[in-house]
Amino acid sequence: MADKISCEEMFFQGCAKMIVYLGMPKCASSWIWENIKKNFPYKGVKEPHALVELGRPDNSVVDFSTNNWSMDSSTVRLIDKQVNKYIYVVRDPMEIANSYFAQTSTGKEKFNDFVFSLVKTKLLCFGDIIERWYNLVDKEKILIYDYNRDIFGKQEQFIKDLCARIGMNSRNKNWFLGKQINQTIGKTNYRCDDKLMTQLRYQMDKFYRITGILPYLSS
Amino acid sequence: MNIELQFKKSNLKSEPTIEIHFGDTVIKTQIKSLEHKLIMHDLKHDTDNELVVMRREDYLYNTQKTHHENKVIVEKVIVDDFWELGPDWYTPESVLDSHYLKHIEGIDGSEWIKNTLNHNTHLFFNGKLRWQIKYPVRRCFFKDVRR
Repeated sequence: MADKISCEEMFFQGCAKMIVYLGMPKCASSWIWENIKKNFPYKGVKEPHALVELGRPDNSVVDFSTNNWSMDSSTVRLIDKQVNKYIYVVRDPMEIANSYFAQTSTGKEKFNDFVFSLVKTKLLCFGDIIERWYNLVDKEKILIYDYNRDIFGKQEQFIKDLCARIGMNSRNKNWFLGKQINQTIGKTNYRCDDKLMTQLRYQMDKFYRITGILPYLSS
Repeated sequence: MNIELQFKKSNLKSEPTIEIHFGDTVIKTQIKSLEHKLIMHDLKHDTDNELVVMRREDYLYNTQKTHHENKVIVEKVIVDDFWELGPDWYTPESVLDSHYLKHIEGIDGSEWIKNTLNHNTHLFFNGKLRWQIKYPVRRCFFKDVRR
């Protein structure tokens, strides 16, 4: 009888087919996952957090952890040959901050301090993130979307585009599409101070400059 | 993994030598100019580790001074070419050498020293600045689900 091989060993024997969602959180990742998950031979959770917390994959198929943007460079080098595409979705950073704040705030923390920590932990530094990833992997493997421009209000078009770009032509019909994107309940509309706003603008400008994507202007 | 350290010093009157430790790697460097940059390349990082910047200049013990007049300041640490640690974020722990502690005990007016050590990034003493660098690095800043 053949020895059992671990999921990790299987991972390194397969062809490059894995799909990795890099982030960001609060960018409709749950809705995207619900739309495409039935196409993957994978029964695990959406966010296994194995790459970011253990430094190794827990399966050879898909990882939709919204914090994958922050994995170590050694982990990127470990998995990259097996990865077909990375998906990277950004959104207006103040919308992400407000959504996160509504979800996680204990009521004691000031919004400005909250945003400060999101900047220091790089979570809102989309320019630094994409610069790092372009240095680590072939940039053609990173599919970039802007939630405000490419997803919200254009869900069907977005899913078709995504499926085509990741080579997934058999999206399970009648599945989930049409259901609303999850919205954070009680979302605020706070602003942060000028210093932080300048940093956020710098990061967005850097992101657009590096990717060559035209800045999104809401109507 | 790479770690970049950016230093400053107070003046050009001396060229302090410091020692940097990460895992099994030890590097000595002399701070010759007011700004000094050092990059540690290809460090092995597969477990939680400490980054230590150490200063030990025994001349101090032959003086009545409580501190080095030429301070060495760690302005910024960049871990894995990405994460930036500075004076306002993820500051190190200051660890004073036992000889240094004994030395300042005998000098009047040294009470201020212990009050300055919280979030301190200045090596004005003999001892260490010590950062916990976890594996993977993001675990320094974010709560774990799987651990």
